[in-house]
Amino acid sequence: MNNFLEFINKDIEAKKTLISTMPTKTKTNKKKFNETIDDIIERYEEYKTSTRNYLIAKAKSFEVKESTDLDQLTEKLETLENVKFLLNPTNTYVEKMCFDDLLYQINNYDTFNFKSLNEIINGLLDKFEQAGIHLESDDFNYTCYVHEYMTAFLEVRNRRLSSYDKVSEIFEQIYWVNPELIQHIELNFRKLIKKNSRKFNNYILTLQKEVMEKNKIRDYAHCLEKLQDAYIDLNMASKETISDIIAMAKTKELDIEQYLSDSKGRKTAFDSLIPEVTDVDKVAPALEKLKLNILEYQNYLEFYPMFKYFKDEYEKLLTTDKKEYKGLKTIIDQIETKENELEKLNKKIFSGKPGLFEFRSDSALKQLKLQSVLKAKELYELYKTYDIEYFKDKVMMILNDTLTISDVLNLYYSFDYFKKLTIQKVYNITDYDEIIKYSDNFDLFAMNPTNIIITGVPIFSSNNIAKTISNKYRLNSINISEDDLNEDNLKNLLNKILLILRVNKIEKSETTIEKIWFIVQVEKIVAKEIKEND
Amino acid sequence: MKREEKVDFDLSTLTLKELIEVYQNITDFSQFLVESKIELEEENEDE
Repeated sequence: MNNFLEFINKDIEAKKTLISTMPTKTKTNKKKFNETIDDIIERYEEYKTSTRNYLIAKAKSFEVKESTDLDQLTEKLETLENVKFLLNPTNTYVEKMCFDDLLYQINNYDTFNFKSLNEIINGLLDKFEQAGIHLESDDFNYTCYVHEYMTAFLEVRNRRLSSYDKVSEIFEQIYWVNPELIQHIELNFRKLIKKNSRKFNNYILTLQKEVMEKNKIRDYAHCLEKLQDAYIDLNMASKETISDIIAMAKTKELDIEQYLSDSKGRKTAFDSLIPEVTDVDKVAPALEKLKLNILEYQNYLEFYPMFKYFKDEYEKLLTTDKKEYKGLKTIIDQIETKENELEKLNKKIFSGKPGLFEFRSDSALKQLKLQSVLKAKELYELYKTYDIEYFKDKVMMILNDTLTISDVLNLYYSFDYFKKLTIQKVYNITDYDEIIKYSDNFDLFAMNPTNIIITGVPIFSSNNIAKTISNKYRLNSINISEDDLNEDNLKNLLNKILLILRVNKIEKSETTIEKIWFIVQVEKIVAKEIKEND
Repeated sequence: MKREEKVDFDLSTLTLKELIEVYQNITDFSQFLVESKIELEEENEDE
């Protein structure tokens, strides 16, 4: 038999004619009719099985296996990122110890309905222990209530008990007298973080020395150089391969039908983007760069509200005399004065030793406790101002009229607490996981040393990045307009570029688009079978 | 119906599109056949 398809088509027609002319009036007719059908079914099941097995074997022979072991490169990159994090000259031990993350959590405990306060407190205590500081209950003397709660907490922690039920009971009891207990615990930790600054700085210095020696890094600039190289190595090694394309086609992440030579989508992509190009190889490097630029631009647009917020908030400080501005110092002094006052009050409260609540007059003690709670409340407000001034101080250190988007990215990346606060504010998010998602994406954007556009874009002057990109690539015979780079059209543009690059890659490889299409069809057939048999 | 001889066929001459097409046609026809079968009722004698 020369052509099986022809045979099948003719045979089907013949069989259909046959069964349409068979009598079906009587029971005998019907029985005979069904017997005939069963015979044909049997024959066609054989055809189906043989064809199916052939298809599967053929599709398997088209599969491409490319081994890309990225583990080592990824590990190298992660190590260097950790070194960069520790050496970052922009921030302090507070950020390097990740206290800012935990303080953000405890500060927003109510907003995000966190399940466990214990986890946050244990996280903070762990950080102290990492630096060799073992806090005791007497360290928690911000208010008598903080002392009572943390005494119970440390007892459970130090005895490694599994249940914090007793601590929860104490929390309940205190809560009705002092609902701001969590805020005061936060302030106590803030005070302890500040008090132990020397120890933390020494700990960080030791860590820095260790990682620099281990990774043969001279200084921060050297680390950035190595990081850039590691990024380039990883990007090269993780470039999309033919097997990646096959995998994406199978999972429908890309529509392989669009890649076939007679597809409208393919024609549109080529005709609109590179109408005059006959050899795609010649524009492929420029298209690769354009792809990266678009991804970077997409990130820029996603976080544009944060850059706008920064501009609105801090542009007015450009005219402020940095040396004269004493915002942070003033608030630090105010906090210190008030904390001294609170300490004096607490001394009076705690002086009824040996028992915490032994005091000559119950009402005098009550009065003192009330005063201390009010003082702590005032301090909480002062710390809010401190946060604003702290970040403003960091901003002012680098503020100038040529400040770039890249500088702002690095600033927010260096101060996690303020990055999350800004995300929360500008995107109006109240879900913690959502904030973390934004924050992680922001960090990925900020950490990428291959960013190129944003390094030259000043934050305080108007700029037209879309125009810059489209002008640059028109010189490379790539036909893009500012409109193509409109936020709504970016995905479409990126898909066109990916299509051209992938078609070119496939055509240069040992496989073909038709083979990949075939693999996908067979995959569908097998998936359908599995579904039917379920 | 007289049992047909088994057809000896060569799939290697078909293009990839034809291979998928032939499988699809066989599957569709098999389905058509299953659906064409007549449900037999309990009848005592021929009408």
